[in-house]
Amino acid sequence: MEYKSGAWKAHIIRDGKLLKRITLAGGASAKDEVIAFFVELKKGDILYLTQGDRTVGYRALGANDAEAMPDEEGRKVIIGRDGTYDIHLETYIRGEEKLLIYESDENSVSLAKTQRHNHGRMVRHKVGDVSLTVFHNVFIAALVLFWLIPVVWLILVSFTDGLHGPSMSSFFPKAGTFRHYIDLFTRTGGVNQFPTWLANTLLVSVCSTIVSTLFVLATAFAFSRFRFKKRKGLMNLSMIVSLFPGMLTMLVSYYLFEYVFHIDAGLVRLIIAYSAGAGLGYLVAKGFFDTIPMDIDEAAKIDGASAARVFFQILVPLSKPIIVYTIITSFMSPWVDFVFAKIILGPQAQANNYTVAIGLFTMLGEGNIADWFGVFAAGAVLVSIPLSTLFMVVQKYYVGGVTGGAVKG
Amino acid sequence: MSKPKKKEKGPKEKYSFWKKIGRSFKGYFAPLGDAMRYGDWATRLSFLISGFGFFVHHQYQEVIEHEIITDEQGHPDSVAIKRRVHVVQWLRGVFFLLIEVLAILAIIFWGVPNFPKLGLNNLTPAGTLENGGCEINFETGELDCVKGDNAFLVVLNSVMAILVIVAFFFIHIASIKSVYRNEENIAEGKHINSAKDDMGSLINDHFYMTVLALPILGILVFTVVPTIMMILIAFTNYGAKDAGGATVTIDAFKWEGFNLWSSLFNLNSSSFLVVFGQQLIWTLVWAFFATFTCFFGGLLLALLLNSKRTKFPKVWRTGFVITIAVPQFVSLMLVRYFLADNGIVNNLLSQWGWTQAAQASGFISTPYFPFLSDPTWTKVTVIIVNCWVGFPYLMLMISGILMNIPADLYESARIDGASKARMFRSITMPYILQVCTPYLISSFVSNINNFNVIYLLTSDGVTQNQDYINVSAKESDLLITWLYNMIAGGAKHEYYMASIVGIMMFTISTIFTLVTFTQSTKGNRERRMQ
Repeated sequence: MEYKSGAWKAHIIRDGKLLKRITLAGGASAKDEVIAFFVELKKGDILYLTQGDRTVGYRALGANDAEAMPDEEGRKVIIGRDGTYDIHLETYIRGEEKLLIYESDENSVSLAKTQRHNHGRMVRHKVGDVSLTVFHNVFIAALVLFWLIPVVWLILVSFTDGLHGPSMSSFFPKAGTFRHYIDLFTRTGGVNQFPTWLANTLLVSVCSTIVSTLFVLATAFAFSRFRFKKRKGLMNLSMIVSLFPGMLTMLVSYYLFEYVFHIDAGLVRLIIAYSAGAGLGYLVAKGFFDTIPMDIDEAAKIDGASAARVFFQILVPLSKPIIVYTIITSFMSPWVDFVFAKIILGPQAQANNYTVAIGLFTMLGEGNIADWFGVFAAGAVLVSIPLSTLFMVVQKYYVGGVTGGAVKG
Repeated sequence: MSKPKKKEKGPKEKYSFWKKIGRSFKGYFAPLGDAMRYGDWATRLSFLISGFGFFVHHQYQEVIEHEIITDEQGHPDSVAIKRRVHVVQWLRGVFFLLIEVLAILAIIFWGVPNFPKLGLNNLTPAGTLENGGCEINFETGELDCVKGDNAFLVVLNSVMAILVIVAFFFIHIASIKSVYRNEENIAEGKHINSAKDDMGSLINDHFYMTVLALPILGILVFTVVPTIMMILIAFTNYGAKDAGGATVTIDAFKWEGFNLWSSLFNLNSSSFLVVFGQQLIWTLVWAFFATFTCFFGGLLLALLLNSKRTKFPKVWRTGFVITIAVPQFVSLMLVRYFLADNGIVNNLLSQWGWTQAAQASGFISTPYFPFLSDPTWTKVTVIIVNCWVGFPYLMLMISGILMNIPADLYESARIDGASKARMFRSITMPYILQVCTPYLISSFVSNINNFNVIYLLTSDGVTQNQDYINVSAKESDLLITWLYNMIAGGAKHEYYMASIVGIMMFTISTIFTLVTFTQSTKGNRERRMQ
């Protein structure tokens, strides 16, 4: 901490001329200190605070900020209303300086006195704080560890030898091994086809992400930027359509694939199933587009751009956050879905058509779990790592999207 | 004086409501009458052949084009050339004609063979739906198999044909109006769009049409049509046991109308209503607790992490995020093994002597804590485990909000002498509540359909209650996991019952969404923001 030397002075300018200069304190501030004084000010007066040869920046706070407003750089305060002002200077050991200005009335006056009393307590407050901070952080650490127990157990299981299913008597493994990870990739054919599943799921997620993202962005763009006659009707209709349980929709889609379109390739079915109805999920993206003012569109149109150009060359670059969000959430979805995919693939699905989610899930079936629990854990760990990373990338955007419909970028 | 006034108001309002409907009908069909009466022969023929008028009506337009030429000195110069263009809106004509052709084809191939087979009182009266069969061909010694009619396909094709008819009805009317307007515009000398103009508008004012085409098609085929089909299945006997005791398959179901509904809803003959009622109540209770426990838990966590005393908040936050970043089908299955009757938690509790103490005191009747095996325990366990999943989500969101509250608010409150508790009550909480309320509402609605948590934790549970066994349910099921059991789990696949439950879930969701939607007036905010 630097202790700056030089006297603290407040300068009041009225009508472009120096009205008053008040010396608040002399010398360096080596302790927490509060100095206050009252002064009559008129609207339009400007207040500067200096120490030695530098101007101190500050925030002005008041019951009503309109009374005393700092300029943009915080270098001076402009008084907005005539009155008697109480001007506080607070300096702290930790180097913070604060100038507070508020209109004084009965309450404020007594407050000034109280704060002068308090400055001694501020020092004591810092010392007694330490043990509470330690406890606070230890508590949080314990909470986090408790929350992570199942994840830690998963990792331990993936390295545990001698497993016969999940019921274990102790948390920590008695013998360790890498065998499960090796088995994951080598002991294939039959129950475990992890490499095939990886390839399948990768293919499905890449293709369905491309289509889904296009559909979602197109729909959101159309509803956000155009006011056509059927617009409200279509929006309400889309909401109602999406309320029907998706599981049943998937069931009929299975029949459509089986009997009508005669698409037997399971992966093609999955790609279509995941992306065909994607347009219904336009709400978040539309909310984001809504926050981009239409003025930008209109300016571009005046310059002769067509709506298509507006979309591709103006809106899309501005929408990187929501595009990233849409892409990542579409990409992650086939990896974690074990319900819809199973329904779409149908009861005759072969193990080599599974996605990672279905495959790992079947390893936990009655007849399989004794042999494959460790391999399941290994597979789960491997899959969780990239998924967690993606999730953490998107959660920056997720928070904003959920609360405001406007994604932070 | 007020009484007679009131009397007048009533009937007058009703009258005006019907009048409004009547007027909108008239407004919709009136231009057709005009077209018939005042249109020329081409317009009238367009009643039969969609868009015919577009090929006949024409307009001569004076178009001014600028051509770049080089003048004598070699400098580029532009010259205005007036050209006479003959504009015929053939593109629109082709468009409408094509639609009519496609519609007719759809009706011929989808509708005609299938409409007679629909048989609204019985989908398979003898002879209407042909049954498939195999017979030995005596000459070759092989089986000749004839594929029978597939009831599902019959209904599906009929539905699609009906949708096409409805769509074509509206498009055809629009085409007639468009042709008539075309004729009027030409008569009044107004500019009509050439094919080039129309294409241009499709990427400009009407770009939304181009852009919405494919998504809407996808939604129609893979969401709307399946939804309609599933609603119709609720009125068939697909999946029920027929007279012979066999399960009715997808290609051989019959219409039952409301027969099966009434047999299900009859308390004497079926456990359905009892189970449905209980499931509904539990679903709502679950959604309520799940949403609000997670909200308060997340709030506490966020406050804890956001406090100035916390060191390394990012590390702790990342730790929490990892628990929700791991896919749910992994983490929840692990928790299930944790809490199983012979799982780790029970083993530990037994080692520590807690199980024995609880047994001795009569708290539990089994030599283990039945976290996921006793119905009531399961419900509590599920809510608590959902907290484990849900707290970090809410914590993240509320942390984001907390960090965005302007610090000035707190400063001015502190000067005014507010205590920490008071500041929390009057600044923090209202701010958070205001931002989170829409999320809480939508979270409640989506928790009603929260499949993962309940299914993954309880999928191997067994119920002792005969009522539940009859309809393939468990006490801890939500409506949606019950739905899944009906179509994919277990031995019975009673699809018609699943459809009926699906319809009721749909109704409930719609009611909730409408109620909450009207409360939050989002309608006008869009324009204001823009």
